[in-house]
Amino acid sequence: MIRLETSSACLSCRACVDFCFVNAIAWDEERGRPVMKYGQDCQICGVCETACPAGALIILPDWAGQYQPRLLSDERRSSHETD
Amino acid sequence: MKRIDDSRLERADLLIVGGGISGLSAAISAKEVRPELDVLVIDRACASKGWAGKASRTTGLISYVTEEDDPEDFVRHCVEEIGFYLNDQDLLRDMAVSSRQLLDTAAGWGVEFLRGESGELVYAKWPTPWGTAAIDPDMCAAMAAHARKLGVRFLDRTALSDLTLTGGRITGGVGFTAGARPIVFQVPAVVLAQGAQDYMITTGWCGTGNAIYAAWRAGADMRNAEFGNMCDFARLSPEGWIYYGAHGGAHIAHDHLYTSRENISQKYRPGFHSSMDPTAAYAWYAETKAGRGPVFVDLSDFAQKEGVLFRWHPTAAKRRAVLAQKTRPPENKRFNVVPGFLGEMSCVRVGHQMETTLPGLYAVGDASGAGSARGGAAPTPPAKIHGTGILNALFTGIRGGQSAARYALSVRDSAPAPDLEQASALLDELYEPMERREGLSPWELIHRVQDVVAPVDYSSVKEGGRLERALEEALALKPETGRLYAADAHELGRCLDAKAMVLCAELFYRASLARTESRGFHLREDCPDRDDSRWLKWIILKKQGEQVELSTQDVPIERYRYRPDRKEGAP
Repeated sequence: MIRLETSSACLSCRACVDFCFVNAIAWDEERGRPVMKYGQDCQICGVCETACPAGALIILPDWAGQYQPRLLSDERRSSHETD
Repeated sequence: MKRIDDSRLERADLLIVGGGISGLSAAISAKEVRPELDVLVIDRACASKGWAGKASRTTGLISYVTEEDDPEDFVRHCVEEIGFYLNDQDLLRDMAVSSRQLLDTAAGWGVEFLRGESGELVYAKWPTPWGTAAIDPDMCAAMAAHARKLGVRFLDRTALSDLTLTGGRITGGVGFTAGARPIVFQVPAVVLAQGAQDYMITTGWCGTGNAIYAAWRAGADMRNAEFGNMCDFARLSPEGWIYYGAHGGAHIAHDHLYTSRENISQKYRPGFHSSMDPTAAYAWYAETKAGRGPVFVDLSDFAQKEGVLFRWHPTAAKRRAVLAQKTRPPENKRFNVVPGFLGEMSCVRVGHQMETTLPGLYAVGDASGAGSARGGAAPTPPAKIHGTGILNALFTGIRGGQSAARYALSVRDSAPAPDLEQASALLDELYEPMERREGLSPWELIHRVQDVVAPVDYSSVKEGGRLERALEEALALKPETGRLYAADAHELGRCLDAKAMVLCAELFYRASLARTESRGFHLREDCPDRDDSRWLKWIILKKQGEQVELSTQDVPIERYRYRPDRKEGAP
């Protein structure tokens, strides 16, 4: 699963939440930190990282876990279709 | 309680759906020509600050007809080399002639370009009739600030799902807010600016076809749906992971594809080319099927060219550096690639003022890129010219915003309110997934649609029998939309996206089956030739009840300057 990590430098300014154009990042009110709530939607664009005024945030992609659709029509059907 | 009883009512004179470049251009232009109008921009992201749309995730390239180029050469190139005579040549010429002015207009809104010491635009000149300048990828932040200054209102984290009509005229629409509260819009004119259909396969290219879905369900015509098949390449890691998106570093691989035997780009498509083309996907497909794979690119080939052909705004350069860290760099300059489907389906049919076939409804930017027919037999820009996506967004956004504003002003005092029964039924249908606790998650259905559109031999390299199978697979997903569940507004939005994807896959394959020739991005193995005697026509799709009605319209080629010089030939 794709991960979002913050360091102690996080200012809790929520800029990363605003910058995320696919709303993948949500705000954890309890911890006062951003969370990757919808990792499936993250576009790995890195804008949240560059926008963070404290440089406190990093996105760690999970390329192995990313859904890979068929490249050819006669390829094995994905797991959801063989169930 | 019915959803509508809990809904919020929002009135405006003009509703712009989508706050990316085209939507903001429309909003600003509407206010500039008719300042007294109440213009409202909604977006599922944070458009009021300029963080909506794909713009800030692009590499910040804008191509245009430079002072060294003749706009007429640009028109001819686009007709003869990209659109293959399916272009609306009048609209294309309008864009070519105004393209330099569009950059000045954007600069007037506060958008930054890379400039030289005396303030002149810095651009890379192609051997083709255009150049590519570098634009600030954060351009929407400047545009949103300018729009707010003009009095444009914003509702962030708000979606439109469907439009309402009375007597065939737009009266508003329905949707939901961030808190999943239903919302009803009462507006006499709507501009759809939510981008193309990309099926969320390749990162960054994440249009989900919401404009097509809303326009289709309201009864608007579609055009050129068969060209929604843009395909890039993505890097394959040694473990078999696919780095979809800019991370692949294979974006201009199209001219540099190799097998262990030869340069297959030159084999299938000799010469220099500016950008993506289905021939490259065909080359990958044919060589792979013949057992001559894997197909690889050589970085040393295009790293050298890239420096000459592209320059970057400092913000874009910084973003590119961050992107590069998100994958493990290839150990060798040679690495294997696979097709990375983009889609860019953009079939909402519009005329020269970006008006759809429904009075009061307009569509701009990537929503109507192919539907405008400006580009001909191609998906929405960039299609084959890097950097024309932003140009198209500015051009169509300004046009659509101005004409929608004039329309809105002329009808606002006589416009009927939305039919509440109609709005109520649409809201109930929209919220069905929130009544379920089990079934299909939106992402499960999205992955199933991806499996229908991503195979290169279904969408890029077409053939009658395979298209029939693909259509059958797409149609099998329709009942599955009735099993979607959602827990919150975000998931409800993804359910809407999944439904739009299922619809777009159906429309794409129906139109692809109908066009029995090869032309531009539509490449059929069973009909390999371009057939000008039968197919100088646009395919028009229209909703008739639950059926898709398909018809054709002749391209008015006798009126146009550029006509095929032979009746039949290679695509």
